[in-house]
Amino acid sequence: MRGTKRFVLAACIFALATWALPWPVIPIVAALMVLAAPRAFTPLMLACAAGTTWGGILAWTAFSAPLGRLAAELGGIIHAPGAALVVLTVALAAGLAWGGAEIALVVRARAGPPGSSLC
Amino acid sequence: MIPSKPRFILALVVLGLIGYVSIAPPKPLPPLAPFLDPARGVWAVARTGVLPQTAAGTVPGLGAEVRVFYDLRGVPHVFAASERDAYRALGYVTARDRLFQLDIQTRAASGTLTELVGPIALGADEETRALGLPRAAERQLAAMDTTSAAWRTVEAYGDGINAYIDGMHDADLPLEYRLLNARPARWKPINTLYLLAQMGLTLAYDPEELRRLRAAALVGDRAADALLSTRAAIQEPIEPNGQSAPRIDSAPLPPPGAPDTAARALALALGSATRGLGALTGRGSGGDVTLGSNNWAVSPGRTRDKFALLAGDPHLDLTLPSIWYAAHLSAGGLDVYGVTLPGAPPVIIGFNRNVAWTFTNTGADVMDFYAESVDVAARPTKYLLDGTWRPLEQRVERYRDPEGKVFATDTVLYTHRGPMRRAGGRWLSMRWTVLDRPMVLAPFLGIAHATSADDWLSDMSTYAWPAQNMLVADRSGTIAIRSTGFFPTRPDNGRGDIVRDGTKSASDWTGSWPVSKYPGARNPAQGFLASANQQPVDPRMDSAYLGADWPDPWRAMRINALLRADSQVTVDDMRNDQTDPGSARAELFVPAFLAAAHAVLATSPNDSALREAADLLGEWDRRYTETNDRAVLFEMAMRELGRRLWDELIPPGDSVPAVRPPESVIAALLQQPNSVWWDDRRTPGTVERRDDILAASLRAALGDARRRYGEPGNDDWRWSRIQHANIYHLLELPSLSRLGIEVQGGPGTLSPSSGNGRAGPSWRMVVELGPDVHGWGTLPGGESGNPASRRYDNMLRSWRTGTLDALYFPLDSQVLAGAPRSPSLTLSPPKRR
Repeated sequence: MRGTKRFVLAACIFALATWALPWPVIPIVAALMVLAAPRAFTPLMLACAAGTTWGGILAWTAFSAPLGRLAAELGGIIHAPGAALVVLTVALAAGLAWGGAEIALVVRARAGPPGSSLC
Repeated sequence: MIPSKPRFILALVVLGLIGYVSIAPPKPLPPLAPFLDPARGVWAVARTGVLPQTAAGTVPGLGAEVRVFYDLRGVPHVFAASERDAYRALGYVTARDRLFQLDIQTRAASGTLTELVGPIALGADEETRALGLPRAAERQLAAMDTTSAAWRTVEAYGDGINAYIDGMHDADLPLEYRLLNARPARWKPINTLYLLAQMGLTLAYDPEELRRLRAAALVGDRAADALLSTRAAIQEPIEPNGQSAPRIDSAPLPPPGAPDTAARALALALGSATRGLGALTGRGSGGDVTLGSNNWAVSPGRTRDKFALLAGDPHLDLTLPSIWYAAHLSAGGLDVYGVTLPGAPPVIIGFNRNVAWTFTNTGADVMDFYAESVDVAARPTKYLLDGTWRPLEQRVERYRDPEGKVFATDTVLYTHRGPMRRAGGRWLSMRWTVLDRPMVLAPFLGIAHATSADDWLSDMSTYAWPAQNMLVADRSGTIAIRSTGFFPTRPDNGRGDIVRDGTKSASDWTGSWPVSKYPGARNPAQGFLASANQQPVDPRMDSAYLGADWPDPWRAMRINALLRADSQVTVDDMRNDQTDPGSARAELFVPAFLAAAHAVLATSPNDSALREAADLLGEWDRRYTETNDRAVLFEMAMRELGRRLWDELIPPGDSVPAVRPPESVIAALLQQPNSVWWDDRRTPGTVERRDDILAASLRAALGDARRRYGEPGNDDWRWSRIQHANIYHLLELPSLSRLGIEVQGGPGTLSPSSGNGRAGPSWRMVVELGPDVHGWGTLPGGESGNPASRRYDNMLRSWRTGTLDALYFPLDSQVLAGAPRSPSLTLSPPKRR
C-alpha cells in the first residue's frame, strides 16, 4: 500500500515537472527523489512512474484530442505503426528516470556512509 | 538500494544515448526527447488540432477588440471595428492555422528554402533567383508608396502574423517545424510581394517561344505557326462571337517544311535556360501540363429563380493544406466572404452583400526572350544595344544554410529587360510582366466594397498580373467578364512567340493594351458568360496578338453546351456542372474513331482486333464517371493518335514528339482526311490517310490496354482504378497527404483529372445573387494546416463528391456568439502599462 502511494506521488511529481519544464527535468527529478529518499524511491519504480506519467499524459491527450490520428500520421512518416511512437515515448521517460536515479544512487553512495560504495 | 557498477555504466550509456539523439541527432532526425515530450513536443500537435471553445490573444496595433468565431466547417468569421483591424486579425488567424505554409511559400518565392531545409533546396533557390523574382519584389517595395492604404493593410496583416508568432508557446509549434527541427521566421511585409510573385510564376510563366522553336526546328516556320497558332483551331471564345456553336477551323494545315537549323539552335538554348524553371512551376519546360480553371455566370433571365448565378473553380496545384484560406471579414463598410492566399490580406475570390466574383487564368503571352550580344561570352560585363555597350547589372546571390552560414553564391546578370542567362553558348534575356510591372493590391482591397459589377470592374482596371478572366455578377442581375492584365504591345508583327534581336531597342515592348480593348462582355444576349482558359476573343473579331498555342477549349465547349441547353438554371445545376463527367473532347473524337474503324473494316472485314476495339469504344457513353470502364480505351487511343500523327515532330533518335500541338488542331485535321500530316513517315512505301491512322491508333490502344489492365470488363479497366486525385502535403510526406482519391472526371472535363492528379479544382464556389446573397463552396482539404486536426481535410468529402457546403455568411457576430460548438477567439490590443 505504501509502495502504491509512493508510486502515485512520484508520478504526480513527474507530471508537474513535465508540464513545468522541458524533458531534462525527468532524470533530474528522479535523481533528486533518490537523493532525498533512497529507501522510498528505487530506480525501477521511478522508471515505471515516469513512463506511466508520460503514457498518462498521452492517454489524457487522446481523450480530448486526435492523438490516434496524429500517431498514425507520424508512424506513416517513419514507416512504423503509430503505436510504436507511443511506446517509444513511454520508454524514453522510463529510461530518463531510471538513468537519473541510478546515477544518483552512486553519487549518494560516494558521499554517504562507508559500505555503500559501488559493488 | 545498493548501487552497482554495471547498472551505473548502463545508466550512463542510456542517458548518454538519449542525450545524443536529443541534443545533436544525426540528420534528418529531429531531437528525440524534445520531439516526444508529451507536454510541448510533437504530441502537443494533437491538442492544438482542436480549437478551444474560447481563446484570447493580443495583437499590437489593434484599435479595438476583435471577435473571431469559427463556424462548423472551421471557417473564421472576423468581426472588427475597423477594416485594418479585420486584416490584422486575419493575419493572426491565418498564422494560427497555416504558419508553416506561410513560411515555406515565402521561402520558395524568395529563394531562401535552403535556410529552412538546407542545401538540398539549392537548385530550386538558384532557379527562383535566376528568374529574378526576389529582386523584382524588392524593387517593387523600394518603389512603393509605403504610406498608401493598401500597403498599410499589408503591414497590418503582417502585424497579425507576427503577433501570433510572438505569442506562441512551445506547444503551438506546427508539426513540420518539429520534423525539420526549425523555428518560424518572423513575417516581413515584403513576404506578401514574394508570395504574389510566386503566383505570377504559377500562372503567367509560359515560354511559348520554346514550343514554337522546337516545332520550327523540325517542320519549319510556316508549319510551326499553323500547329501552335495564334488562332485557336476551335473557336468558342470568352467574348461571345454571336455563334451558337463552336467553330472548327477549316483552313488546310500547311504541310511540314524543311527543318530550320537556326530555330533548332535557339530551341536548344532556350530549352536549357528554362529547364529548371519548368521544374519550379511543376510543368515541363515544354508546358505539357496546363493549369486550368472554369467560371461562368447566368443572367436572371435564364435562371429558374430569376436571380443571377455565378460559379467558379480555379484549378491549381492540389496541396495540403490548400492553397486557399477561406474567411469572412466584417468591419464597418467591409463585409466579404471568400478565399485568401495565405500571406496576402485580400479576399481574392468571393462575394460581398452585392457582388460575387471569380477568375480563370487568361494565359496571355506576357513573357518574351531576346538574343543578346555581350562583350565577353564567358564572363560578360556589358551588352550591346543600338551600337552602344551598356553595363550589365550584376546581383550576387548568397545562399545560407539553416544556421545562417553562406554556403554558396552565384551572380545573376540583368539587362534593362530583365534577367539574362547563358544557355547553349548564347545569352538570352527575358522580359516578363511579373518582373516588369508592380503587382497592385489596392484593386483587390477595393472590390471587397463593390456595390455593383460595374463598380467592381472599375476597381480592377489597374490590375496588372497574372492576367485573369475576371467574371463578376451582382444583385441587380448584371453579369460581366473581362480579360484583365498588362498585355504588352510589340513592334513589327506584334508577335510575342518569337525570340527577338536584343541588340536593338526597337525590339522592345512598345506599350500595352488600353483597358477599353480588353476582351470582355457585359450582359450578353445569350444570357450567360463562360471562360475556361480558351482564347478570349475570336480572331475574326479582333486579331491583335494576345498569345499563341491556346489550351484546348474542351471545358469551354462543354460548359457552353450545358448552358445553351438550359434556360432554367438552378444552383444545383451550377453545382452539378462543376463536376460534370461529360466530355466535348470525347464527343468529337469517339465518332471519328468509330467512323474510321468502320471504313477500314469495310475493306478488311477480318480485322478482328479493330472490330473488337470499335465495339468496346462504341459502348462508351463518353462520360468519365468513376465506374465507367471504357474511358481508358479512349485515352489510350488518343495517346496513340498523337504519337502516330505527330511523327514529323519526333526529333531524330527520339521516340516521342518534341512538342505536341493542341488536340483541337487534330480536330481540325479530321476534316482534311488526305492531309500529308496523316502519313506516318516511319512506314516508307505506305501513305496513310486519316482513317488508317485513327483505326491503327484504336487497334493499338486495345492491345496496350489489354497488356496493362487485362481483359476488357476487368475491374482494372474502371476509371476509378486508372485516374486519381493526389493531394500532397507541402513536404510531400505520403502519410500527411491524401492520395489515390477517386474522382469523377478526366482530361478535358469540367473537373479535369489527368496526368499525375496533382492539379485540379482548388476551390469550388457557386453564388446566388438574390435579395440576400447565398454562397456554396468547398476546398480540397480544410482550413487547418495541422494534419492532426479534423479541419485539415474535413471538406475533402464534399470536394470529392462535388457536393458543395453552404457558406455561412452571418450579418453580425451575435448569431455565432450564441451558437453552440462555435469556438471563438478574442483579440485585444496589448494592455497599456
